[in-house]
Amino acid sequence: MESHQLTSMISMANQIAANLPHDQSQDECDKAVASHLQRFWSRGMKEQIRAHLAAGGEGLSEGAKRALALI
Amino acid sequence: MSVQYFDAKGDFDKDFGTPKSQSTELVSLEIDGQTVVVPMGTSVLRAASEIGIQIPKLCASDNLEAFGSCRICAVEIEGRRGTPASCTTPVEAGMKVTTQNVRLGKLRRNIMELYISDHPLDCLTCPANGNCELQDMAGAVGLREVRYGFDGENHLDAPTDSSNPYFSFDASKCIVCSRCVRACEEVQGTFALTISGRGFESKVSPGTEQSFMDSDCVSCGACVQACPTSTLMEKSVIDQGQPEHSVVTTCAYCGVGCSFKAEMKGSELIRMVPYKGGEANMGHSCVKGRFAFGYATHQDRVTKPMVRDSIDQPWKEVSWDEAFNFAASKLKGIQQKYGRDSVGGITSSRCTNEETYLVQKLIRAGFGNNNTDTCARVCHSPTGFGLKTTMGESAGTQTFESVLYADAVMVIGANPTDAHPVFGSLLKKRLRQGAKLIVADPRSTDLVRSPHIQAEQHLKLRPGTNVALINALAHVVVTEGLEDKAFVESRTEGDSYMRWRAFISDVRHSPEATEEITGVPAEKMRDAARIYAAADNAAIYYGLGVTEHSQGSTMVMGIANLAMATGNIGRKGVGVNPLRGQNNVQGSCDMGSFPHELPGYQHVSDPVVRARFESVWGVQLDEEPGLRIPNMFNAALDGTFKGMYVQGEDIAQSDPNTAHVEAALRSLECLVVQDIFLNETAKFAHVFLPGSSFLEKDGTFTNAERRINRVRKVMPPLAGLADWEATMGLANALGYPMNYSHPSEIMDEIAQLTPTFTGVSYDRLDELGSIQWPCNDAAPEGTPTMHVESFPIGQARFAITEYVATEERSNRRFPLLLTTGRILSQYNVGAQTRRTENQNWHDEDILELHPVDALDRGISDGDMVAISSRVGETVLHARVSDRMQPGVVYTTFHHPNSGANVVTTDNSDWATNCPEYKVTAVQVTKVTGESNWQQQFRQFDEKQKEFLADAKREEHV
Repeated sequence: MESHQLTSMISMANQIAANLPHDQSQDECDKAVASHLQRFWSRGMKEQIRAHLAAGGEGLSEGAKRALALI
Repeated sequence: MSVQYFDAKGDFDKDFGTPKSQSTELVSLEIDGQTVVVPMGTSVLRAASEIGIQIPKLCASDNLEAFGSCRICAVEIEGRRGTPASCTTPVEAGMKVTTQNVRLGKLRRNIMELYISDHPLDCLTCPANGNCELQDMAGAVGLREVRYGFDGENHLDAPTDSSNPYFSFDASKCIVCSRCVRACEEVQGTFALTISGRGFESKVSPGTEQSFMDSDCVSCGACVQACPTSTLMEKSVIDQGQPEHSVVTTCAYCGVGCSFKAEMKGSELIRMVPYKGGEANMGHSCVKGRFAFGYATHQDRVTKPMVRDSIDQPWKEVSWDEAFNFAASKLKGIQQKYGRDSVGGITSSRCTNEETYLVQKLIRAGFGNNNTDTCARVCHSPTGFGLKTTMGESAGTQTFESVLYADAVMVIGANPTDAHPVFGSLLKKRLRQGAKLIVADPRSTDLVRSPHIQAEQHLKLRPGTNVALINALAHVVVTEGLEDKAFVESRTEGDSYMRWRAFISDVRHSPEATEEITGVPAEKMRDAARIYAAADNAAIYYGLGVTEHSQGSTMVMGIANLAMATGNIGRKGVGVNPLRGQNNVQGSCDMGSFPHELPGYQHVSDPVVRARFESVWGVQLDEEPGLRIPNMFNAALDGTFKGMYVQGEDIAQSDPNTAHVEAALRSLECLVVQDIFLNETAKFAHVFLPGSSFLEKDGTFTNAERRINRVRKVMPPLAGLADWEATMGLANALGYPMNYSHPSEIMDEIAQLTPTFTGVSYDRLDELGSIQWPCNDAAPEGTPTMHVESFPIGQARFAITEYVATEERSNRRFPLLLTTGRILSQYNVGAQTRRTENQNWHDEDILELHPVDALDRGISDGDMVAISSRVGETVLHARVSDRMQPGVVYTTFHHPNSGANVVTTDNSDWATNCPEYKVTAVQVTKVTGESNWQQQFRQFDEKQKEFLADAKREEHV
C-alpha cells in the first residue's frame, strides 16, 4: 500500500535539502539537513524514511540521501 | 458605573478632555488658585482635569484633538481678553486661570440654553438616559429654563438611520459637536463621516448623504463611543437599557488583542466598549470586537457533552463524566492496539494560554508522546522558525505603538485594515503624519491607496516570489552601501554576516536580474530599498502572505536579514513585526504546542529541560519530536494514527486540501472535539465536549506584541465547565491527575517552567495591566522592545536565503494563481462571525479576478465560476476587480460551503510544513451549478445536523 506519510516525507526531505544553504562544503550542508530532520521529525517518520533509504531511497534527491545517511 | 479591576497605571474611565501631551518639558500654572505642573502642550482643560476640576465640555474628548466648537469649556485667563475655550488653549508658564465665576456660569448656561432649545426633551425614555453628556452638562451648568421656547425652526423631526445592524443614528438628538466625524478621521482613519451643509443646516453625513450601510463606514463604532448624546447609539442599549457593571477583558478575535470593558447587566452582556487602558488598542476597536459578540449566546451553541460510536450515528447527550470516560477508554484502547504514538492532539489558538498549556501537557504527560500541534502550523510557524534562527527568539520585536515612531513602514503580505484593523488604524495615523509606506502584495489592498494614504511604492509581485523580492531589496542595501555598519559590527555574528554579504552581493540577486521572477520593475525595488534603508526608523510588518509559502521560513529570515543589515532592530519605531492571525496564536506557540518544543520554545531533545518538566509533571517525557498536523493526517491515512483530541480549531475547514483532511478524519477511531459549536471538524467526531466562550472563563491571551492580557469571566460557562476544566476531566479519566482550582495556578506552573515567564502571575497582571514577555528577573515589568542591548543568542545571525521556486506553478491546464485571504467583517473559519450580524457585510466568499482574465473566459460580475486545481474544485460567484493583477485570482475562506481549501494543495514550507495557501495553480471557468464537493458537503452537513437534532430530541423525550 502506498504510504501517504512516505510520499510526503520524500518531497519534504528533498525540499529541505534544496533550501538549506549551499554556499558551504557538501559535508556541512549534509549535516545541516540531517540536523534539521533530527530536530523536527518524529521518531516514526525518521525510522520510516531510513527504511526507505535502505531500500534504495527512490525519489530522494542526492542531497537528501546523503543527509539521511547521517541520522 | 465602575470598573471592577483597578489598573495601577492610570484612571482610564475618566475623560480628561484633550489628549495627553508627549512633551517632556514641564510648565507650571495656576488654576483657581491651585498650582499645577503639566507637560508643555497640555490644554488648560486637561490641566484642570488633572487636579480634579472638571470644566464643562461637550465637543472635547481625550481621544480626539481639541476642536473648540461648543465653547462651553470657556475660562478666564488673567491678562487675556474674553473667555477662551480651555480645550484649544495650551498652558503657559505662570498662567492664572479661573474656571468658574458668575460671568462664566452665565455664559455656559446661555450656550446650553441654545443647545437645548433644539433638542428633544424625552430624557426619561431616551436610550442615553443615565449616560448622557448633554444631560450631565445641563445639570453641571445649572440650566433652569429655555427662554427661546421650542416652537422655532428645529431638527426635532430629523430622521433616524437604522441601516447599520449594530447602531442607529438618530439625527434629532444630534448637537453637531463633530466628535463622530473626528473619531472617524483621527481614531479610525476611514473618513466616512463629514458635516454637510452650513450654519443651521449643518448635519452629520455618512459619505455623500448616504446611509451608514451604503457609505464607506467600516462599523468600527468609534463614532458611537464618541457621541455625547444618544444620536449614535448601540441597538443593544436601545433594546436593553444602560449596563450596570463592567469587567475589563480581552477580545477573542484577531492577534491585536484589544482590551474591552464588557458592560453587563447581571450576566447579560450589553455592549463591549474598548478600554482606554488597554495598551494594544488604546481605546479603539473594530466591528468584530465591539459588536460581533452575539455568537457567544447563539442558539447554535452546544451545551451538553455528546458521544457516538460512529460518525454515521446520531449523537447522544451524556454527562461530563460519561463523556470523559468514553473518550479516555477509546483513546487508551487505541494506544494499546496501535501503540503509544497512535494518538495526538491539537491545541487551540483561540483558547487561553492556560488551556493550551493543559492540552499539550495532557498529550505529553497523559498520552506519553509529543504529538501536539496547533493552528500556528498553518499560519505563523515559519515566523517562529525564522526569527529564532536569526535573532534567537520566536516573536515580533515591538509594541504596536512603536509604529508611531516609524519613518518608513514596509508592509509585506499583510492586509492590516481588514485582518488587524485596530493596528491598521494606528498605522494609518502614522502615515497621515508623514511616514512613508511601501507595500509588497500581489493585490492592491486598501493600504495602497485610501483617503489620505498613498503608498510610495506598491511592489505588486507574483505570488510565490517573496524571497526573490527580499533578496533584491537586500542586494540594493548592500551594494549601494546603505548598511548600518556599526550595528552589523557590534550586534551580529561576523562570520555569518560575511557569508551573507558575499551571497547577497551576487548580481543574480539584483533587482534587474530578478524582475523577471517577481514581475516588479527593478527601479521600483531599488526605490523601495532606498526608502527603507534611508529612514531613521524603518519597520517591517508582515502577515500570512509571507509565511504561507513553500519558502515561508526563508522569507522570514530574509526580512530579519534586511532589518539587521540596516540596523532597524532594538528601539522604538523599527523592528520585525509579524501580524498574528488568531487571538492567542502567539500564546499557543509560547505554551509548547509544537511537537518539538516544550513551553518557552525549549526543545524536547534537551535533557536538562526535560528533567525540569519531568520533576513537576511527574512523568518521563519522550525525547523525540512528535507529529505535526499534516504528519498526523498522513499517518491517519496510513492507518498508524487513530485518535485525536482537538480543542477549539476547525481543521476540516481551515486546513488545505479538504478532501485529504476529510479522508484522514474519517479514518480515525476516536476524534474528540471541544468547541462552542458543532463545527466542520466536529461532524467527524465521536466525542463532543462543549466549549466555553472567552466570556465564560478566566485566563490570559498573548497578542502579536507578546503582550499577555487577562481574560476575565463575566458569565458562567453555558455548559457548566470552562475549557480548562474539561481538559482536566479528560486527563483525570485518562489516569493522569490534574487538579487546578483556578487558571492562576496553571499560570504559576507555566512561570515556574518557562524562563521567559518567571515574572508572570495574575497578581502582577492585575498590577501592571498587561505584561510583554520576556518577564523575569532581568525584566521584571516585561519587555516592550526586544533585542535592545543584545540578542538572546548574543549576536544575531544572518541567514543565507536562496530563492527556490515553488513546485506549484501555473501551466496550460491551470494557468492562474489563486491566493487566499481575509475580510474585515469575518474572522477565520467564520464560526463566530457568521453567527452575528456581520453576515450583512459578507455572506459568501467571492472569487476576485482581473478584468483581462474575466474577459478571456467570458466571465462577468456575479457569474458562477468553478475554480479547479490539481486537488479539487469548488464553485463561487465572481467579482471582476482591478485590485487583482492579471493571472492572479483571490478568495476568502470564511464560509465552509465555499470550499476554498478544497482547491488549496498540501504543498508546504520546507522548514515547518506551513501550507502554501497563497499559491495554488488553478483554472477558472463559468459554470451553472455547484461542484461535486459542494453537493456532498451539503448532504453530509444536513445529515450531521440531523444527528445533532436527534441528540436534542432525545433530551426532551
